[in-house]
Amino acid sequence: MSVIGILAILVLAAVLIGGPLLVSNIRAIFCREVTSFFTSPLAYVLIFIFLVAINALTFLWPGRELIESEQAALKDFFFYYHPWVLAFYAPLLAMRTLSDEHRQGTIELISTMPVRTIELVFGKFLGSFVLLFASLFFTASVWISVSILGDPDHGPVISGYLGSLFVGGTFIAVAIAVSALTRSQVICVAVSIPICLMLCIIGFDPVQDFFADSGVRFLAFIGELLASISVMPAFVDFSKGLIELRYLFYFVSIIALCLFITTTVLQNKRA
Amino acid sequence: MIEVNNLTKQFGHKIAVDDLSFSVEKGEVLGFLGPNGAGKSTTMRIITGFLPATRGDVKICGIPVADKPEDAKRKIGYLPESAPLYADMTVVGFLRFCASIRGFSGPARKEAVDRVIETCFLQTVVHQSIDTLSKGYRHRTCLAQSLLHDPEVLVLDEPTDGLDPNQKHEVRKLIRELGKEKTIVFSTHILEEVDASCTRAMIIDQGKIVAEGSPESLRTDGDGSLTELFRKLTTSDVVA
Repeated sequence: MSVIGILAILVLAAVLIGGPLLVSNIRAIFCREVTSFFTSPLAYVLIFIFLVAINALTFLWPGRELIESEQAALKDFFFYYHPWVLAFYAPLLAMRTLSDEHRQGTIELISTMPVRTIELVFGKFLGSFVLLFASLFFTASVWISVSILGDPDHGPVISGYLGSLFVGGTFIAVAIAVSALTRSQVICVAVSIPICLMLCIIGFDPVQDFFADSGVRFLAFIGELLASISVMPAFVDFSKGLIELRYLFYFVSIIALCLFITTTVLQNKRA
Repeated sequence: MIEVNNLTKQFGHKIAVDDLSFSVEKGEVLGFLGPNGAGKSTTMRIITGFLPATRGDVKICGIPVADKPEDAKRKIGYLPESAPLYADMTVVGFLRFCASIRGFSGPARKEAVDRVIETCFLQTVVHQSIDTLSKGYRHRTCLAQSLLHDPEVLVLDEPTDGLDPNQKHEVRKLIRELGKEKTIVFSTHILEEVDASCTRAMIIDQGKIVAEGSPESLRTDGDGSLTELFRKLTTSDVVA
């Protein structure tokens, strides 16, 4: 965690050295991204698949059906699946951000306008992040359902949603970094999804138990190291209603790091 | 207005631009001629700040492009070679987006967009999606974005490529008119265009300047024909 933190501070310092970011540029790129997404039928197909996946897992997963459990808490049902679904969904949302700029050649156009690369990358990130926000908003039907049927504690639900936004944001940042490297959306998705899944798996309880129960000190250390990189420990805390500053710092750091890598890749690609 | 000093660009072992130096003043229209792969587009991409130079420097209105890229880019309007556009946008949506990036908002943005739509004869396709446009309209839409901020310097990479004879005539006329007030560099394969629009022309081959001068003086050098001079000075990539 501390390594990521130090890198993130260096990233922020590097960004600030280049002068303040122009909000008008970020806004223009952000608006284009969102408009472009919603004018394509792909947007509605993706959101539909996301909602079907989340609802099917929540209500139909054998042995974990929300209704049959007669519980109103969403931590072990609804939110339990979020990181896994987002590992697939976020790369699909972000796959076209920079790949398309390369494929259409518009990267040449936008790079010769008075826009800093970091503004371009940040605008693209915000565009995809808002799409993620909209997608998660539509899953609130589950929250409404359990509120009608039972009496859930709303605090952990809100913090769980916050955790989902951070996890999704992290995966979007990873996919944007990959999309800077390729002009193919398929390759972007094929590379990003395994990375996002790995960020889940290395912190997943059975994997962590394996390292902890091994009895070998070195393996236990590896387990702790992997947990500090994974999104899982942070997300689990969020879904329990715990918002820890170190985990907020973790998400912001990892997103900043990915966006900085994207900026560097874009700048060096032209050299 | 444009100063290019000892510009060199290397891609791996290949030297695309080799110690190129020239300057273009206000009111000049410089025609950039050369065979495919001569380094025309690379030079233009360095001038506009898209590519960094390996050596040498470029100044736009006295602003070094490498040190102050954003300031230099504000002075330049650029039409890239393939006229890249966002296919999912409408013509007016695209121009509004470019105007916002260029710092326009509110009525000033509307005014700038309306002006370039008129200048580039885009009235009939304003609300059409870009992916349904013909090549000529795509080119003119991209040309329109380069004129939005009324730049002091225009860099146009093959601005008449893909246009029909009427459209070519209009664009050449437009370049001539704009050239009275601005500094223009444009590249072309069509040698008649040099006569039609340029005040000065430059032939480059393998990244080096091989001829430079007014269209008249170049024609004199080529025994009355620009084509002859071009064929004599440049390397053919077709094996005889």
